[in-house]
Amino acid sequence: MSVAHLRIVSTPADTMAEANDASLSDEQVVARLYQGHKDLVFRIGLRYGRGDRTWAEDLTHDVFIDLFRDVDRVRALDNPHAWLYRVATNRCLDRLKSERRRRRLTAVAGNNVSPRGRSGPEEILLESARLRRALQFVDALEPEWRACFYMHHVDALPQKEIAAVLGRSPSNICRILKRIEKRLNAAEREVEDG
Amino acid sequence: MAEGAHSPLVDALRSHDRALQRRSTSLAFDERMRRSIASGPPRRRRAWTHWLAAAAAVVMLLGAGSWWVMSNATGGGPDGPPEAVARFVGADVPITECQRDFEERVVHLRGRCTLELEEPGVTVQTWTRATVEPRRDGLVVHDGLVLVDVQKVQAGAAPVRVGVGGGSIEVLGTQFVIYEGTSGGEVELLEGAIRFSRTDGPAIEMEVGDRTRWAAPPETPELVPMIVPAPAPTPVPTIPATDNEAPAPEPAPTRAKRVDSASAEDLNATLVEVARLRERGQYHDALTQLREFRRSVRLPRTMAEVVSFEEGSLLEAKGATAEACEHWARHTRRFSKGQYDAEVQRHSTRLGCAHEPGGN
Repeated sequence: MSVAHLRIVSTPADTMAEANDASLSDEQVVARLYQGHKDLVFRIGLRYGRGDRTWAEDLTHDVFIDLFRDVDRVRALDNPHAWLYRVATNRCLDRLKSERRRRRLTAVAGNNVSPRGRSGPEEILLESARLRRALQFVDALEPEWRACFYMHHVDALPQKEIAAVLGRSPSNICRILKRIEKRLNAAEREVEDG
Repeated sequence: MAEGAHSPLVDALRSHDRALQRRSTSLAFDERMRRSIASGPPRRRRAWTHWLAAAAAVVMLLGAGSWWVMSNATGGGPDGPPEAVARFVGADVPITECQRDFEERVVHLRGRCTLELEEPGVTVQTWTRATVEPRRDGLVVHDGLVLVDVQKVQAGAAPVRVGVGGGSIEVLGTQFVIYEGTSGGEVELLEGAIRFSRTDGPAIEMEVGDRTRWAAPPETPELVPMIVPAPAPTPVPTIPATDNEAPAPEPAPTRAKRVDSASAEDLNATLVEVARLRERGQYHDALTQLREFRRSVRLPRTMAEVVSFEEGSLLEAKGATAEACEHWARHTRRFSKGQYDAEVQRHSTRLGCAHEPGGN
């Protein structure tokens, strides 16, 4: 009878101080980082993958397995959270740029976008329709602009940090955000006009 | 530069993102990641494999481990609890790796433990802690996180059963993960097939990747009798007939009479459930759920359009191209100049549908 493999158990996130322990093997370092930060990476994948679990899991797998290539650097990190945020975001952008894939809008129905106020059927539909248009808007942005949009409007990151994540200058990010604002205003007007 | 413009579209995206943030990786994925990480980088994998093989050989030479026999401390007679024979694999490895305490029929495990039940052929592994109770026909998981591996059950042999808070799992040669906690538990199937007999509902046939949760377990979880393997009925919202006076003939007598309008709760619950089923790749079940809902209630036009679009996309996801094409054509005829016109056109084009969706 084959003995089943042992299964990783969710443990509280280990601090980098523990991961820096020289007695840990590379596998242990990566495993601890995975336990501590897998949800961060996975959820970034869900965001850019429009809720597609498989897409997000593929991304998560790639991000953590690739850590083996640079384990020494990873051991020396003070803030693995920020580093993984940057790595995961850029990996998503790389994938988006190389894929031409339309995300399904109706999948959002299961993500509990609860209507505010009274939950009449029309309210639910209105919310769903609004979200669909919002996702259409985001879909139409090129990947890097999409990342700027999310980091600015959803994560509320300052331009300087957005620039650091994307490897661009803050002034460049400012220009991108201004152009996004223009498109957003136009999209809002379209929605209002019906 | 505007900081976080408060536009309806942005608000909708923030809501969506918040909903996504509530999700996390599945147990099956975590297991795959564990294996990938344990294997190390590809260039080192070969060396690790050789090391593992050598280590395994050393363990085997040292012995197969210790045996222990559990019996009822009160001296079980014919009506007493069955005995179970189990052994811990690799008992000669340092004791700090696995600590176990026995309490009557129950064993509390701490650390990395592997427990093999020879009859039936079940292996239980745990990482941090778990409380299990081996039985003659399986075991009961009282608490903690375990990985269960079952040797293939021979045809005609008694099924292996694993008791959990929410019911019992009938195993057919399979690998799955169980988590049992104070507020409930879940099981995720990694390999093979299982049937989960719930204490609060019909049996569920689970496929690889499926995940089932249950609420807080009762005081003493018991193995429940196996439910006769009849297909579980698809849940349909219970909607009372509103008109019992007019004996209008119905073309399908088994179909529930429609009420005038769907409730928000029914619609929302249905869409959420459909999305969950879709997420697990259970497109057929999602379609069934959606169609049952559509047939059981009268939908306003705008709502019907949403439901119709969802149905079409599920047909596509399921790979039923011809059926999807026909559906898109019907959708376009019924909802001409609807909110999904452009999208339906794109879907039809992508599928290569023969007929133009806009035409009749």
